[in-house]
Amino acid sequence: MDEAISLENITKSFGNNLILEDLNLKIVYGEVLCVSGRNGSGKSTLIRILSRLINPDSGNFFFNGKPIHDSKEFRKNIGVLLDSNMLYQDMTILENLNFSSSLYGIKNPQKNINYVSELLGISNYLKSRVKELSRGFKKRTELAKILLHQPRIILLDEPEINLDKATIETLKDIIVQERKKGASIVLCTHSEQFNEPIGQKFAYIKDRKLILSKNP
Amino acid sequence: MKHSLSALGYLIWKDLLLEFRSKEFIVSVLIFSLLTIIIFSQSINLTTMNPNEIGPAILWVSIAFSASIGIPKIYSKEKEENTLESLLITPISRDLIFFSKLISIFILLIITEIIIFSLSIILFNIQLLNPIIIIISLITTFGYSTVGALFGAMMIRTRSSEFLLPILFLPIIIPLLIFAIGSTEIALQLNDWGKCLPWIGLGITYNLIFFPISIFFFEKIIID
Repeated sequence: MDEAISLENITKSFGNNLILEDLNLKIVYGEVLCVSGRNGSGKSTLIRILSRLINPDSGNFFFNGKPIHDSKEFRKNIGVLLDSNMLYQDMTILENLNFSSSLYGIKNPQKNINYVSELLGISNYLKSRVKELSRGFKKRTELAKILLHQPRIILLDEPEINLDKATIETLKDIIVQERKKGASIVLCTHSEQFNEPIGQKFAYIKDRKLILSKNP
Repeated sequence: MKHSLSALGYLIWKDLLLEFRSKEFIVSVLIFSLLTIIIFSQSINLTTMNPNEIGPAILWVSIAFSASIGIPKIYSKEKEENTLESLLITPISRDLIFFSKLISIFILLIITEIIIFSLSIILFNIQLLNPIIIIISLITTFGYSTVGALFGAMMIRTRSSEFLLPILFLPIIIPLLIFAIGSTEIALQLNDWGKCLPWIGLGITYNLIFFPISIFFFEKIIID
């Protein structure tokens, strides 16, 4: 299988606080990697490094087997769900999705919007302002937003937060579906619900190192 | 190129839509500058002073101070709602984010200036509807917007940004303020393009210096 992202000897610290040290990771297309770890272990930092929102202090980053020359090309291919808010609260769901589509240059956004909103059960709320929605619906909208441009690499930071059991099941179905389409998915989570087999590999962060494991 | 222009259009549309729903920028800039102008107009004896000399200073100083209060509002949504990261993940050039903030601030300042100018015409009895003054205000507003778009971005990463912005913004725009006041005064008194041209050159030079500097530093500021 083709390599999507590869990290070599990544080290990251914030001030004197060393978060990740000599981290190595290879993610291939069509694979789900489920990363766990205690609070503050560096899972969110890992997602931010993988999405290139922050630069590591040292180490190498490869996309499709090569160092990144065109950062825009890389960003076109990723969908990132962060632990922070990603929506404009004073805009409706539809306005948020249209706005995001325009930044990705999606030519026929309505088709993609209809697809993702059906998938995540938000189609009846498209004209509601985000600030009027429950946290669960906000999270669903964020998920819809990151799937809009059909990314080949999906990075999810604790996606289960604020989602009910049924929506987590839907999310797992989406993950399986995207994996089968060839997407590469990295999932940082505390939830045991992602321990059930969805074709994933497991890893955990301990003492600033990423350790691959056979079991959750 | 076509995609960049379309993305820029959507970024500006988003800023203006959020502003017209919250009205934070317009209300704060308008109230502050209107109050300043009204206070000055009541405290100065306009029968003994020449309004063409005193009017431009009051006008541009009030706009500069109120702009320093309004500009953080353009960034406050990105800061409060933490949405800047979701913009940085998208495949658009970071320069586009800067241009969109600059243009949004420019449009909103022009809207408020139209109201402030109208009030100044009534209170100070000065003839601001003059092509030279319109050019001066476009140059000045562009300069305010350029510096504001840069310093506003700095405020995202800092606490107490609404207090800090005026401290950084006002000293930087002093040359622009001198240009705006001096050239408006000449335009009001002499209405002569020839006399105003050296001043207009000064304003354009300021913008030619600060525009590329702001583009250069913007990306470095918004990325950790």
